[in-house]
Amino acid sequence: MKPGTSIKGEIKKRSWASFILMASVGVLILYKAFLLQTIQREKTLVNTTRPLVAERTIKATRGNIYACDGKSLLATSVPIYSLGMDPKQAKDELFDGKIDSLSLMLSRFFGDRSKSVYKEMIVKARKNRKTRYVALGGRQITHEEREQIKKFPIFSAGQHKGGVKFDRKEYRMLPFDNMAMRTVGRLDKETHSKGAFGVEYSYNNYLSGKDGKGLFERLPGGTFMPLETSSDVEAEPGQDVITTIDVNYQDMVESALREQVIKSNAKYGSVVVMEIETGEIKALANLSRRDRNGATTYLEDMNYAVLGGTDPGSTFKLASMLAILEEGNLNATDHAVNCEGMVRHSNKDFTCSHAHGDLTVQEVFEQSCNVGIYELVKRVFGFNRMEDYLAYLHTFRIDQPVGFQLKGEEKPYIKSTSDKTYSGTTFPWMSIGYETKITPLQMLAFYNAVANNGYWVQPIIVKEIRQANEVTMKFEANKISNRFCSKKNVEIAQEMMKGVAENGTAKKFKDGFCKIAGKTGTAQKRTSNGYQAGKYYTSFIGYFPADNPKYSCVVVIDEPQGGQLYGGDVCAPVFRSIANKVFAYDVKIHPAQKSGMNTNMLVKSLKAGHAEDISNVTDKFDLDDKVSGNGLQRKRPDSANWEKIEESKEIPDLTGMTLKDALPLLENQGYSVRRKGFGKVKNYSLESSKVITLVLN
Amino acid sequence: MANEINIKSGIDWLTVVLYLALLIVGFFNIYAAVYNVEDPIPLYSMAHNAGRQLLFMILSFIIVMFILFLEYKIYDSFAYLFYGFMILLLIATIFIGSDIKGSHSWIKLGIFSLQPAEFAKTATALALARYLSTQGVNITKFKDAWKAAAIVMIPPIIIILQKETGSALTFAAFMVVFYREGLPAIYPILLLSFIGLLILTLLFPAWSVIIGIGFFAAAVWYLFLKRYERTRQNLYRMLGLFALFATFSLGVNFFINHILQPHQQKRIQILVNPDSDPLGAGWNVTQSKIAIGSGGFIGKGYLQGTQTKFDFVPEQSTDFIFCTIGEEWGFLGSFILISIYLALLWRIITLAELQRNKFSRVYGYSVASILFFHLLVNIGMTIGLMPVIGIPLPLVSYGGSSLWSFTILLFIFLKLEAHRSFKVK
Repeated sequence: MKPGTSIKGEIKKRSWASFILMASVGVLILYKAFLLQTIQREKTLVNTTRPLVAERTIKATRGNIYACDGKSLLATSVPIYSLGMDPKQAKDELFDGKIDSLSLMLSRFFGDRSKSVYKEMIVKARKNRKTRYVALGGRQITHEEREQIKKFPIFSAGQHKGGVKFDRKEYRMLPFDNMAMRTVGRLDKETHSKGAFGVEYSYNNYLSGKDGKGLFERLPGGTFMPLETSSDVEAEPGQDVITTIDVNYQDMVESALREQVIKSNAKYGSVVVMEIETGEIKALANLSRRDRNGATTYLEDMNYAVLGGTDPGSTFKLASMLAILEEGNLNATDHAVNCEGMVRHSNKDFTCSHAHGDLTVQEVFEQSCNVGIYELVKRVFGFNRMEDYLAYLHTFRIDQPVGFQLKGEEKPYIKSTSDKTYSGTTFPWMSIGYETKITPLQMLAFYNAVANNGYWVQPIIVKEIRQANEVTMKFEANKISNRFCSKKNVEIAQEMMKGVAENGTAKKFKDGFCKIAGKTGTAQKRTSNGYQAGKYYTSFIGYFPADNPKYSCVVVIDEPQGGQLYGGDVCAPVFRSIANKVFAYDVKIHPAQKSGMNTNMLVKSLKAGHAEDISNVTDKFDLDDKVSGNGLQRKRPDSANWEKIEESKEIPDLTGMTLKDALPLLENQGYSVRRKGFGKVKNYSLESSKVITLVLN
Repeated sequence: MANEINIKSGIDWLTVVLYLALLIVGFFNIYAAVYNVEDPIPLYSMAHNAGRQLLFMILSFIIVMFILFLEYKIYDSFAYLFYGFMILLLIATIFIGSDIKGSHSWIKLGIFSLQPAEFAKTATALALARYLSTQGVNITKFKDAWKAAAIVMIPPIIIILQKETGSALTFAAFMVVFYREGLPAIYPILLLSFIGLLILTLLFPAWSVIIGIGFFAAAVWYLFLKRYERTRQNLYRMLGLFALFATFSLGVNFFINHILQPHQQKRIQILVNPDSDPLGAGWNVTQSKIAIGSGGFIGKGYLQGTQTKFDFVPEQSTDFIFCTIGEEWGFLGSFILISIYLALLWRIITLAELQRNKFSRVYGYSVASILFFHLLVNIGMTIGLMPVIGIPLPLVSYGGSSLWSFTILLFIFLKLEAHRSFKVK
């Protein structure tokens, strides 16, 4: 309180100030009410007719994701509905008469509540003045279920007279469930409208379409009714994405991989199968271990093939070997090394799995001899010429990302001499696949190029975008038109990879439906404390059939446990199994069959038909069984000669004909045909003047 | 029996008449709000809100008798006990309360549901009155002012945890009491400035508000301060205030965009521009304004309203009851209702000023402030002056908890007042 003012005066002032505040708020409210109710009344009331209508977005249907055939759905949006009813819509007569049977039907259909609970719930809501919606069923229903529920008592009267309400939502369905889940992708959990990863994420712009806008009327109780007006902006449905994934390959690959990761209790495994010439990825599987409540399962939770850059290990020796061959002009049969199991380099042990003894260049690769690679690098490059080696890696494109269509590809990490962590050990260790970071997909692209005679092809996973059935965009793999090494050396490299499977680290798996070629890899795992003993990153990369390459494939399995810890034992069998299955499935890669087919079989199968058609067949296949007449012809089972079928109203002799032959004959004559059984016509009978029943056997 | 006579003679009948008037207005308008032309239900039927409100009113009268019958001293003596009990109940409600529309503020007691937050206001008013009337406590002292503020701030914090933000806001009303009891005027002025700033920040981008304050401060410095007042010290004060307001402005911006839930953001956006989403969040306000506007000057007549029926306006008999009054009784009805409230507020303040002891006076001011705040926010929201905050119109809105809590709040004061006037006689 300021000095000089009386306490009484101050109190009076404050008392008045408090009331004046309240009174002025009262006046303000009255002023605003006055405005609303008199001066602005007209303006406010204009809204009584209009504001009930407003623009709302109409969600566009999301495009589908297809497998390579453009038919098998990998992801699609299907409508689902939540069921509810406006309990007041039905007239008393209908409601009272049918509520029992409706409750019973609901109870039976959903099985979540008893009939009496359903009845009580609906009746109570009907009595409550305000309730205009009761949710029923406690779960979402499919379109088919909706059709069934529409027929329930009361509901069958429709939305207006029966009060049934279906709220439509879109649900993203993966028909193959978890297959290639990381590659296909998922929608984000919050909004369910954007892709969170995989194709759903990377191709969201195409898939999402464009939301439309439409006018809706808000009805009392909060429901919206679409109004049809000319100002509607229709939603543009999303486009379909056609991937290169073949569901059959994907299935083979996943089951082969699953078998092995479970067997070796690995941390994760990853496989990519790529078509060599086109770069199309036919299958891409990742399985990682998840231990939960004591149970171990394997599922796709990360796309290791694309994102999992790590030390590749011995599979990198293909790049080193190719660089050595290019630089050193060596022959496969040249003597390379006398491996004693270890060399000292910069005061560190550079070891081999065991002392390999005398090896040729080819054998160094087949046996995956570290010391051999070391000596060859030393001989050809010398450890002070790492730049020249790196230039080869650059030519092989192994130091660059492949530019994969799925977002998030990790860049390969290849140390240069100016790198902070570069040391005297970098070059030798890098030449056998350490001190780098490369993803399985990037390694595969390199092997694929070697299998493709030195022509590099970019791996792709999406080949087309379609709007309805029109192809709006085509994606082709980027193909490098120059060979990245000499023809001679790429052939040597191919021979070496075949040698690995024949005599080398993967020879256990040389037998199968087709020959394979490749390289095993077993890398010690690196942690912050350096390289760890006992924990390995194993791999096998190669291609098949070895003599007529069609597919390249990478198999990696991380941290296998138990007796077998090496790429040759863990990954090579998976590769072999995939090669076998794919070879058996893809008939196009089978060696050509001997020409000259069994025409006898074909002759036997010609039984009846129009003379013209029969001649067509016999001409085409150069058969002796020429038909001479015209019109409908047939051969009796016991005869080798054609005879004409008289086109009369009489039923021709049908015995011995197949249904395919008999049906047009009869239908041309105006009969309708019923049949029993399968096979050839045994007997037949005229049911009425127009119906014939065939008994087939 | 002697006590009974004393009560009757000492009670302030004008307040009681105003109280009853509001109850009657409430009852008939709740009936109008639930009235269905096609299917009229009798006034007394328990099947609708009006019938139930009648029952709540009868129970209120029993509560009134009980309050008047009790010794006046217990409100003073047990003030802290009530307060402590209420705090415990509020905390318990967070855990045992049933989930109604996302808030955990209701306790189910058989067929009734009680909302402890409503009663917490009374307990807080009692505790505050008790504290401020304690010998030696002086609100102009910083330490005492903070203790008093703590009494007022603890319950709303718990209520916010119950997700009942609207009820919690009503505790801001106690600022009026603090002011009356001698809190330096700078605090209410600061509070009002902050509210003004808040509104400016909602309407304009924060940076433009800050530039505006800067210009305003510069203008004050050069145009209003005399040369000798432009001391270094005053400059620092000005800069300090500027920094405070600027921070507040930015803080509001951050709070709205990052801390508030999307639905709360919507409500604020609707306040600024109700047409931004007329069918969604703006729906309530738009419909409410249409209903009130459609009443015109003299209204459509009792039970003749259309907007407040057919579910256009939400919560017609509780939070949006003023719509029914505005639609059926027009501006005249609104005028009369607000006049009744203002008369009641005036009467309570007058009586409070007459109190000999500080306890009764502080309590009386608390009653007036709480009623006032509800009035401001509730009617303010229906006519678009305030964001949509779900608090009831005192003594008029449907609901037992709200009716009983205001009855208790008011009649404790009347009991205190009756004691004074009895003694005077």
